[in-house]
Amino acid sequence: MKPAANSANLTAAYTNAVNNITIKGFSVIKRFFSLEFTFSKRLLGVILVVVGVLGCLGLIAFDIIRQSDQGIGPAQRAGMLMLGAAALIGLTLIPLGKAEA
Amino acid sequence: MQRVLKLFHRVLIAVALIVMVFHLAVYVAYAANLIPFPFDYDQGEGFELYDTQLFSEFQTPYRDLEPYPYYASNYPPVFHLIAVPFAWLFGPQYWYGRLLGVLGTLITAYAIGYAVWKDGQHRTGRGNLIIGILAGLAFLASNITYRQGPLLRQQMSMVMFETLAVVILTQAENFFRVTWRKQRLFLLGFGMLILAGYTKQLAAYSAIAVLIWLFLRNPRRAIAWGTLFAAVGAFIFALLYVSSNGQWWKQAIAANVNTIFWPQVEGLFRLWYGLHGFLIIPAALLCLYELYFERLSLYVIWFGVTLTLGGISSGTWGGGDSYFATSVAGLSLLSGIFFSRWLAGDFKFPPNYLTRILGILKPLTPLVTASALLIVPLLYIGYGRAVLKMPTTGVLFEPLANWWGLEPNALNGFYDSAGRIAGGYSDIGHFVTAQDYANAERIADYVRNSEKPVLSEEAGFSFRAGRDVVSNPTQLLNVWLRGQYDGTTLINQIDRQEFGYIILRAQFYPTPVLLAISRAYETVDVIPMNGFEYIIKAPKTGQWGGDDYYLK
Repeated sequence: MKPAANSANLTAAYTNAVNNITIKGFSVIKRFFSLEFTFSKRLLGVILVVVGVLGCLGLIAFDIIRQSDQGIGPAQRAGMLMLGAAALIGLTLIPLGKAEA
Repeated sequence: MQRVLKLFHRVLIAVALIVMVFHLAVYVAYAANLIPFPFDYDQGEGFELYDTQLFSEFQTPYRDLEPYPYYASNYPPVFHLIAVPFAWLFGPQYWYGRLLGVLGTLITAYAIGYAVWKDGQHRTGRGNLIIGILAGLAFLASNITYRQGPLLRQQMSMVMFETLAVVILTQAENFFRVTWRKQRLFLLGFGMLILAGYTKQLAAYSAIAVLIWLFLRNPRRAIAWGTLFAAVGAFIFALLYVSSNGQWWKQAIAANVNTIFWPQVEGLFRLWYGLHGFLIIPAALLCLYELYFERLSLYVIWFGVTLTLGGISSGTWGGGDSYFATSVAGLSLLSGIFFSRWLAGDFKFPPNYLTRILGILKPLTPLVTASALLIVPLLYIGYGRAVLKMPTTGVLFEPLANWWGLEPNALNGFYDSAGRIAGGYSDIGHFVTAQDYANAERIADYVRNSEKPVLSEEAGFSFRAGRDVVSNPTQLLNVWLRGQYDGTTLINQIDRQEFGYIILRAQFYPTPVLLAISRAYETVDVIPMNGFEYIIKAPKTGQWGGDDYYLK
């Protein structure tokens, strides 16, 4: 194969891939905002895990950045407890699959 | 065997109803005792009345606190606006505001009972009326509802609007298809939510719960309804902001942001559980059931959000046990639904990994269902004992108190199972006495006989004497704690002894104001009322240093 043709094929393949992803992305967004979409237990579980883990990490990072001598305060402790519980509940929801949340 | 069990069930349900009706009778007696009392019973009631009076005269209560009369309100207007027609008819009176509070609790109880009955009707075609009635009465029996209900305060009106909102929205969601009737119910539900929010700011938590629920059901509808809701809310907000020259934001929003005192949160959570544990566990079981075996209902999300956020907020200055009132409505409703479904054997377990684990208990299903006949009424009876509160004196109550061995543990010979151990659980709930009336009139006489205005921590004495309401101490403190109150004008006026008397109860004024009071005024009388001591201060004589002495 000539180098020019090879490059054209690669460009076409790349464009196709991008288009596919874009179309898929759009279709996911379109579906999300359709009148039929509803959250599944799995999706709710994933969201709870992500929020719980990122929230806990955020609180720990905040404590490190703040460099306070007092350590983790009651508000942070309560926050971490709630976020941790949310993550745990989320984990137990994921196996419930497509059941409506 | 089944027959005997059903007979026991009927007897126990009758006992549970008697217990709950007894609580209702105590509530009615308390309300009847308190409603005619023409003074503040809970600190701040008079200021709510003053807000109503200002609205009835087409004035805004969101004002600058710096000039005389140093007054501003920190609450939204709906409750006061509802009372305005009464103010036009009867003038500034406490009774109609308190009556509105009681009516709010009765409507909430009815909505809870209806929701419980409707749940059974919707699912099985047969609602459980008795459990619906017990659930509504359980809400009224709670120490928190009892104490707050007959006060001239907006808390229970907010709970009423919140409860109506979630019940209406749940009924709307039961319509399978989008019809005009469903849309109308949604409009009505969101309307109630707006009313709740503009009754008291705490209703924001219910709005969060509703939007989470709607988003889980369908994000598109949540965004559409949320946008409409926010637009209406923002329009009213802008109206209040403009009509008060920005004071609405400063007094009702910015001044209400307070830090949390965590030991108080912990204490109040313990107390809340201690009082309502018999119903909290069934409510929590329904939450778990919906989480793993059904769709999450608005009731469950509402209970979870308002309990968490309301409970945390209860630890703020100005918070307290009343911040649990919405969650009490939620737990009464959820436990009622749990009991109704349990008695009907209406728990379905779709196949999932948890059903497989719980499968080993399947042979016990008939026993578990039958046990509801005994356990459900016993739980209501247990709850009835846990929330027991009543006077230990009086024709009817004294013999009962003696019979049950109840010792008074609160003011004016009152017994309250909550005790007085948790910070933030205020000293209310007791009945007012003839001596309280007489002593209140003695305090009002000081205002009446003064040639100069009187600075009072409560507005009731000024209303009674037909004089100016001067200052709102809690709001002065709120704004001062935010660093937004200078106070020079008030302090100068105190230093110049321009008030005939100063009446203190809890000494809520900002520290510089209290210091000025102690500089220029001295105690001339201490009068007990409702179990509290009211300090009457008059201008100091002989040692006054003149106009400029304290002003540097």
